[in-house]
Amino acid sequence: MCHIELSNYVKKVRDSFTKNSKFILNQINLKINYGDKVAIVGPSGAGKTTLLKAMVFSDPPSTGKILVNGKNPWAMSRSKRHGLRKQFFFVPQENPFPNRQSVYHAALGGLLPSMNALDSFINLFYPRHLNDISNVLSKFYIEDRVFERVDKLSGGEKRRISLSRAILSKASFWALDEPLSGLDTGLARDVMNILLQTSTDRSLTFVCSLHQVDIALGYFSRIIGIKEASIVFDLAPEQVTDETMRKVYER
Amino acid sequence: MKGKRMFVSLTKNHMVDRNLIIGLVLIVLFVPLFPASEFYPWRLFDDRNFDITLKFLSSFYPPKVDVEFLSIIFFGSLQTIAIATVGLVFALIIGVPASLLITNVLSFSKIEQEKTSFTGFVRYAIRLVLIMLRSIPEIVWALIFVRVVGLGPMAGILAIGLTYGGMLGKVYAEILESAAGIKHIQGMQIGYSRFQILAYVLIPQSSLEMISYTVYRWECAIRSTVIMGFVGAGGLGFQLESSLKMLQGGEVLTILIAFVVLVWLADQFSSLIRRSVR
Repeated sequence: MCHIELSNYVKKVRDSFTKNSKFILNQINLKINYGDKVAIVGPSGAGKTTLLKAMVFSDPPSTGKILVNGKNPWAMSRSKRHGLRKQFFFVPQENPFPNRQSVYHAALGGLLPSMNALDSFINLFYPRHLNDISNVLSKFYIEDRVFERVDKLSGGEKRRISLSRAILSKASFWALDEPLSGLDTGLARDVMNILLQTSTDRSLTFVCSLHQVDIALGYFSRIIGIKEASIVFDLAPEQVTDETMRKVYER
Repeated sequence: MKGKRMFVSLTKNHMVDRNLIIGLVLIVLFVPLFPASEFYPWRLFDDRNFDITLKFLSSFYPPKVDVEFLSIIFFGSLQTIAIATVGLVFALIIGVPASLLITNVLSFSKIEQEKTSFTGFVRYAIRLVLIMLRSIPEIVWALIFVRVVGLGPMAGILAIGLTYGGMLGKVYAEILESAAGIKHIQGMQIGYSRFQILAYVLIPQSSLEMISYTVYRWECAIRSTVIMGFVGAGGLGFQLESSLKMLQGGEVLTILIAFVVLVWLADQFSSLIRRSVR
């Protein structure tokens, strides 16, 4: 049994301009095992984000199937499926928190799925998880901003809050969309180290889309190349040659 | 896909076509509305009408400012504020739960792109109830309640509560819907509960809009107490009606000034709250 299995997975949308339906994911067959560290590479618009969203079963496939821990989430009742989502943490490219909010509340988003209603209500007024959150923020050098408003922070700092949420979450699967966007090269490597270290310590399954090919090859144990809605290759980093990479990125 | 690249030409641009058609349809629909509503603004400036208007307005001057009358106005204003505030609280009791029920941003079936659902039908039914509440003007509600609970502020409060409850429910739901998007879908994706989506994503996103709309409605409630005063539902409006009946222009002007002051206060109050939330 694997953590995620997509078989003949298809996602189509109707193009509002040409009125034709268009594939964003076309016949995807993919198995992600427990503890895998996977980087998805490919040009813009290839379907990386949609693939990540498919893995966290954010919306149903057009055709095809997804199995999560061997079970189809789209055959479950809605409340059961929603309960299962607490074990999956997706970090989108855009910052997922509102701007009129403190850094504390923005970071708390990582803990919310595992918090009950009373705890989440009290936290609106009283920071009960300040220690946990400060600890994680300090890994990303932003612990001194914890009570500041989010919109006072720079793009790179906001990015690090999004990633702190993943670290705070109790999920067993991370799907991070372009986690390093907006970070400078040095910081990007630091952040990637922390993410990989944490995911290894907790034996998490870690899937992320990346534009930085060198980081993908240097840090991940499995590289998936996608182009025009289909998987082009799925290899260990030492098997990936310049030639394979060029094929994915050429127009 | 190669060689099939699409060129966007202006002559074939659907967006331009569509906007042109919509624009033409709107103009064709709009023009007949003027004669239909008997809107002939130039009549305002006929010599005869101008004189009448001027005479009527000049009868208002000077405002009546003796202490006895001013104290009546003061307590009338207090009662007006009380009616508007209690009425609005009553409206919130109807509007807030209703907005949470009818908004589609807290509906997981909607976010998961399900086509039709039973909950969608329920939301629509509640929407219809809200339409009924607000489409009946508050003065009609007031007339009904004056029959039931007798003359006085109670009828005004109930009337404001029902009409404004219908409005608040609709507009809150729409404010929440315009605050929705990638951030709230993300909350759903990682397993937030509805309460968490509401309290940690949607409300921080839209609190300013909600506050300004609520205070604006309070301002409107103050104004509608005037009209309801005419049917005996208490407050400054009751004063205004008797002064108009007695043809006491000075009193009418004083009462109108009191209304301007009340609305100005509401405006100040609104910006005070908005500043503190910002």
